This record gives sequence, C-alpha cells and structure tokens, in this order.
Amino acid sequence: MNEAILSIRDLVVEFEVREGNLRSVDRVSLDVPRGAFMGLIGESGCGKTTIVQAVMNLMPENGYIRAGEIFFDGSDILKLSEEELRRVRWEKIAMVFQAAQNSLNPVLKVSEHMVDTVLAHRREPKSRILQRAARLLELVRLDPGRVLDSYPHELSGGMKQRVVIAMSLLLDPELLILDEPTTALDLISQAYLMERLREIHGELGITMFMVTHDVSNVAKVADRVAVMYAAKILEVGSVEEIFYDARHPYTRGLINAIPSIVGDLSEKRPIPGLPPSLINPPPGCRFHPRCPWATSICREAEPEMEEVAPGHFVACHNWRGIQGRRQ
Amino acid sequence: MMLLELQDIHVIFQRGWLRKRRGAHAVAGVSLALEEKGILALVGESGCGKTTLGRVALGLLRPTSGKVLYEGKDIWGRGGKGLRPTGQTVYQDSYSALNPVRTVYQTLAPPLRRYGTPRKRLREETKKLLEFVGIMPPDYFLNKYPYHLSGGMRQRLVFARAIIPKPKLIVADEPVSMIDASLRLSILDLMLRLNRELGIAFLYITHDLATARYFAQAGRIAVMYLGAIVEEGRMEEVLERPLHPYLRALLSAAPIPDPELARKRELMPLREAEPPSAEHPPPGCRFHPRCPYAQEICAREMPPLRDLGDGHRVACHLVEMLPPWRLT
Amino acid sequence: MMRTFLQNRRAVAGAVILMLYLLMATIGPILVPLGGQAPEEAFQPPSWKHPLGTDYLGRDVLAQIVHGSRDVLFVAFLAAIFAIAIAISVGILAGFKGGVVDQALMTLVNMMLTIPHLPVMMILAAVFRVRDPFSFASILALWMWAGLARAVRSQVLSLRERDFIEAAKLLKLGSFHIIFKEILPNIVPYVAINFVSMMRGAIVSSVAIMFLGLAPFSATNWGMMLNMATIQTGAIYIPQALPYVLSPLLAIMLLQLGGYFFASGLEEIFNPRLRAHE
Repeated sequence: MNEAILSIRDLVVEFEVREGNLRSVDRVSLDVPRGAFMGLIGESGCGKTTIVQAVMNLMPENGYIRAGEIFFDGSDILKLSEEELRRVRWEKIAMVFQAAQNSLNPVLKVSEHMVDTVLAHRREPKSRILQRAARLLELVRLDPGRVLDSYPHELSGGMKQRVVIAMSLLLDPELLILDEPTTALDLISQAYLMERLREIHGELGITMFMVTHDVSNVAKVADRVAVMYAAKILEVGSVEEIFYDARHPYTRGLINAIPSIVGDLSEKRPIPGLPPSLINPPPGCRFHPRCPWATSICREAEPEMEEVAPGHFVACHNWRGIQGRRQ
Repeated sequence: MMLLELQDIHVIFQRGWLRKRRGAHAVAGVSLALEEKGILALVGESGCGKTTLGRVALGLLRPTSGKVLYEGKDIWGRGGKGLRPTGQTVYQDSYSALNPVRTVYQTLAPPLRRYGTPRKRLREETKKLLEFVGIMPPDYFLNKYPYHLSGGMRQRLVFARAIIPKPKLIVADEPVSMIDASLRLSILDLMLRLNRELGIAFLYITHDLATARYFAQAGRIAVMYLGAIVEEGRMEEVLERPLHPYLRALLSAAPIPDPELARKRELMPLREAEPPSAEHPPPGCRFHPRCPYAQEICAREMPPLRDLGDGHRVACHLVEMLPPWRLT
Repeated sequence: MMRTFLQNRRAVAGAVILMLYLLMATIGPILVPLGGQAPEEAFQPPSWKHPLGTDYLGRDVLAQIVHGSRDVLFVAFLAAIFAIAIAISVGILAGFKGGVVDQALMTLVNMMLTIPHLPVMMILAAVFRVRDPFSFASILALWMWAGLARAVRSQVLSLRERDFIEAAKLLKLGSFHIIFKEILPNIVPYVAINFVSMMRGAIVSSVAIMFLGLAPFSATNWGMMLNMATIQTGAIYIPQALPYVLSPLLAIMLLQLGGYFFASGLEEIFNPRLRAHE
C-alpha cells in the first residue's frame, strides 16, 4: 500500500450546543493512501462530514478542533497560517460539497465560474484556463461548447454536479474530497456520476476521498473503505474486506441491513436499537448496546484499533470470534 | 372485486389564473388495480407523477379525467361524491407529518376519540397503540414532542396514527428515505406486519428499487416514467425478466452492496443521460429520446400497456424484439 | 426554556422593569396615597416630602405617577387583548377559508393599514366622549389589529400546507379540531411575542390622545398629567417644576424600554424553537 497522502491522527472535534458539548469526532485516526479511492461510510450524525470540515478547516461557528493533527504531504495543515492554508485549499486539496450543484452562482456562466476559480489562486491567461476547463468538461462527459456558455439553471442537477467536479480539478489538486456527491440526483444520474468518478480516478491518478451514507455506491467505486459510527472509526480495510470479511459487528450489521435488488432477502435484518447520543455516549464500546456479540469487557473498555490482516484494522474486543462472511 | 381501481387516470395541472394554460401532464393515462390486503410498489424517479397518483388514489386530488373506484364505487361520481376512502397516508418527512406543538398523546388521542374510543379508555388505548408499533416504553413517550423523537420513532408514530381509523389502504410515499440505512428495514417490517396482521393494503411509492423489492417481495410492482406506467407485474417475475428499456436502465443503475457484482455491471448506455423535463414530455413513447432501441414508431405513437400473459404488462412497441437481458 | 431566558440579559432586564411597573400598578396605589390638594405648595421642586415635586394644585407628583400607572397599564392591556382577539379571528378566517372571504378581509386590512391612525383616533375619541377604560381600549384596538391579522393569516397559510393538517383531514377530524387544536397552538408563540409590542403601541397612542385632552376620564393618567402640566398650566415655563413635567415622560419612556427589551428577548428565545419546529 502506498504511503498516505492524508494522515489524520487522534482528531477530536467538538460542537458547543445548547445541551452541552457534542463530541462529533472522538480521537479519529485515518490514513488515505496516495492514489487510492477511499470511501468513508457512516450514517447520519456519525461525524463523517465534520471530518471533512476539519480537513479543510472550514468549521462552523460553534465547532472547535480540540486536538489532533492532520498531515498532508508531510506538514500538519491544522497548524498552517491562513495564507498557507489558502494555497493548500483547492490547489492541493479540492473539495466538492454536499449538493454543490446548488452553490453555483446563478448569474455567472460556467466559463466565468471556471475563470474566477483559477484567478482566485494564480495568474493565468483566460484562454489557457478555458482550454483546460474544456478538457476537464470533456473528461466528465459534458460538451464544452454547450456547457461553458450556459448558466447554471440551464443545466440539470447531474450536469451541474459534474461541472462542480470539473471545477475542482482546475488547479490540478492531488486530493479530491467529495461529500455526499450523489445527493438530490436521480438513480441513473447517480450511476452515471459514479462511473465518471472512477474514470477520473483512473485517468488522472488523483487520490479521491468520498464521504457518504450510501453504502452501495461505495461498493462500486472505492478500493478502500473506512466505517464510522458515533464519532469513531470502527473498521478500515479494502472494499472486499469490508464487504466480504467485515470483522466489526456494526459493519456486518450495516451491510446486512441494506436490501438489494439481487440476492437473498431472508438474511437481511435491521440493526436493533438506536444510534447513541454524542453528548452522553455509552461507556466502553459505543456500539455495545446494539451488538449481538457484546460481552462484559465491551461495556467497560473502549476497544483500540487492531490489525486483522495487513491493511485491515478493526476496533472491537471480540473480532476474533466473528467469522468472515465469505468462506 | 378490487379494493382500489384506477381507470385511465389523467392529471393535468393548470397554470395561470385568468388564462388557463396547460401545465404539466403529470399523470397520463394510468390504470392500476390493488386488491384487498395487497401490496403494490410504485417505482419511479422524482417528477414521474407517482406522488400525484398516490394522492389521486386516496381521493385527495381529483383527476382531470378517469375513474377512481374504491370497493367498486366511483368516489367522484354521483352518489359516491365525497366517499373518500378511509385510506391513510404516510409521508417521507415524518417531522412535517406531525404537529410540532402537540405531544404524542395529543396526536393520537383525538383520532382515537373520533373513531370510537371512550374518553376514559383513551390513555390506555394510546399506550397499547404505541406498543403495537414498537414505541417503547409507551409511558415514557406519551408526553414527548415530535422533536424529542428520532426519525424512526416519528415514522412509527405516524403509522400509529394512520391505523386508528382501521383503514383498508395505506399509501406510503417514500416512508424510509429520510431514515438511516441500518434502520430502514425495521420500518418496512412494521409495514409488512400491518399488512399481515391488520389486513391493510399498501401502495408503496418510492424511487428505491431495493426497498421496493424487499417490501413487495410477495406483491406487485409498477414502474412509472413521466406520468405513464411502463411495466407492471408480480415483483419476482418483473425483476427476473425485466422488459422495458427504462426498467432495465434503472436496474443497471441501482447500486448493489457487493463490490464484485457492482463492478461487473455497467450502466446501460442511454442516448441521452439527462432526465427530461416533466413539463414538456417528448411525443410518442416518453422514453424514446433516451432509449437505445428506439425506432421510428416510438417517436410517433405512445405504446399501450399490453398484457404479455401472467399479468406482466409492458408499454413498448418493440418488446418482442428486444434482446434478453439479465440483472447480473 | 427558562434557562435560555435567564441567559438573555436584555430579556431579564426588560422583565425586571415590567415587573416593577406591574407592582407599582397593583400595590403602589395602596402604599402611596394620593393625598389632598395644597395649592400653596404648587410647583414645588423635589424634596423628601415630595420626591418628584408637586403639581399645579400642590399634589404629590410621585403619587400621581404611581396611581396613573394603573390606568395606563390597564388600558394598554385591554387594548392589546381586544386587538389580538380581532387579529386572530380575522387572520384565521382569512387564511383558512381563502377565496372571496380572504380577499375581502385582506382588502379591509390593507385599508386599515393605510389610514393614518392618530388623527382618526383623535376624532373618534372626541366624538365618542371616551369615559372609561373599556371604550378607550376599544378605540385603540380598532387601529392595532390589522398588521397582526396579516401576519397571522400568512402563518395560517403556510401551516395549512403542512402534512399534519392533511393528515388531520384524512382522519376526518373536522374543521373545528383543525383550527383550534392544530393551527391555533402553532400561532400562540408568535402572538405571545407580539402581545408586549401591542401593549407598547397602545401606551404610546393612549398617552398621545390623553395628552391632547381627548380622554379625560382620569386625572392621574400620565397623559392627562402631561396635558395639565404643559397645555393647561404652563408648568414648563417654571424651572423648578421641571421634574413635574418630565416625570410622566420618563415613566413612559422607561416602560417602553422595558417592554422593548422583554419583547426582543422573547423573540430570541422563541425564534430558534420556531425554527426547530419548521
């Protein structure tokens, strides 16, 4: 496995809310290998979006990064000055926000968006910018002739999303972060977008980090997957390991709870119980109240990440007792 | 006799006030039937008219033309006027389906009272109802407000309220799309229980083929595109032998939580990737601009929904000539 | 909810001020007797015996302020209640029924909003010889309900589209239930916030009318005091009688300030919850 382009170490992020202190990310460590297509999956409220916000240091007003480091290309970006951070943002790390298609300025044409984005970071002749923009639009299967001169409202949701992705690639970043890229898209557009993302990944060799609650989409595009639950990372591994040989009961439960258009439905079951409060999380392992394999140690001690196989890590006391799904 | 029969339903929304202009033709000639205690999954993407059809089915919206027969009686016709079926509906957003300033008890008590529960038994009956839908412990939740409840709990509460009038039909419009993935099946299982134990027929409206398959395993599926039904039949049969190109495209696009399978499949290539506008549907078969098999007749005539035997109906001119296609 | 209220300093300050006035209005008159006339002590400057001086008849100014607060608050309270009652009725009727009823009512509302209030109130007060707080409050209310009615109507319009209203209709719970049990409880927070604002508006209008001598039903009324002080007796020309002239003014200002703080504090509290209730 390649060295990590992005390395998050013991990150702690809290939000100050009316009821108290909400710890949205609790000592999370995660490595994104260079060149990989990594997916971070988890359900609503698990903290995955907060991680993305922390990486770009775009926390909302009541959010505070309490501890931890985020290494990119060797340096801790949390310690960078605002000026240095600006140079990293977009030029080295680009991001596509959730429902980004709605953040396009309705009074600017796509070409103007593209030019503005580049000129905000460096000086470059407009014609060259537009040339590059055209190439990137073609990469996402949009017709530059038609799209560059269009206003956002003239494009469909799927097209807008692809425009935003093309924009994110304008400055040749090394890492592209996507937060729920398929929100508000119809099924066919979603599948189309996922295929384009894989193509971009293959052709440009850019590292992709996709955060999503849609587990099935991740199965299609990612090579590595991390699973997040209640502010903690529970399991990390290759996509095959996560889907066929998951060792954390939550991962097993999650994949087992998702119906599919093929396959046996009789094995599918929801996970009993409810996700825990992040203001007052349960002691020990966060998942233990809902876990069929829970034992007394799970109530007392928080499990540390252990290696199941090279590159496959799980935070569970009892992972050894859990058989892989595929024999 | 069918519980619900929709015959050649058209819904055209008028635009403008003084000069009535033709707006969207949201539902274009849909005929559907649902038997007592039956389950029908109505699948389609947003804008296809499925929500509108759901409202027509409940008598909430009067179709521009066509008949709505509930237990054989025309609910908009003479004599049937105002005969709204006691169907109930469950919505996608459970939060907006509940009055935010009313507690759980205050939400359930008035309908319970309205449908015959005597005043002194109200509390007890409310608790029994909460237990039945899985909101436990009932005492704890009685005086909670909707914002205290999780999404799943709220949806259960909406179901609890919906079954009070002992309806024969529930129209569930995207009931689980705002609920976390690991909990969706628990709501779908609740719906299956209501169907089995209380004999309630369900019209399950969704864009998610996977949950449709789960819920309507033993029932039927109807696929809608831009206001028309393009394929319909028993769920098992239709998924085993999908015929309409749109359904095939949908199935090829639907994500599968299995990396090997997911990577082997490719999205069926369509002539145009973009979904069309519902306001200006194409002439002839509405899918023809995107259909890889389209021929000249497809641009001219709207194909009728034909029964190919065994209740499997398809609206496509070329269905006999299509190459076989399997999901995997 | 109490906690958020207590954290908001403005709201607390406002509440304290209002409480003081309320105390003054309720038990004040018992503690501070009005006293008799003493013409030889007219226009005295503040002293230990008369903390705010005396008026043109030698009567204690402070006592008058205390007694006057009752009238002012009572009239304002009544006016606000009347106005709110009318506003809710009209707003709900217009929003719920829609159609012709809505159009008619909104035309009425718009008319009411464009007619200048003070001159008309003055004319009405003069014509109808306001003799008691109730008739006075009615006239005031007549010009206060329109704006709130429109706001209530728009709230009703948006509530009507909510799924839970449709659910209530499907459950055949009846219009009565829908209006009183589903819609009204949602409007109450909004109206409660506006209650204090309505009172403040009523105070200003009532004092203005009384200042012009058009509602002479009580002599200790602050507006009347101002009237007597300035127009009738020319006390403003007497330097040591300044406290006499200024006292009613300051009393009004402080009351308005308290009301403003309290109302804006309430809004801050209710708003995030109103938003949460979206």
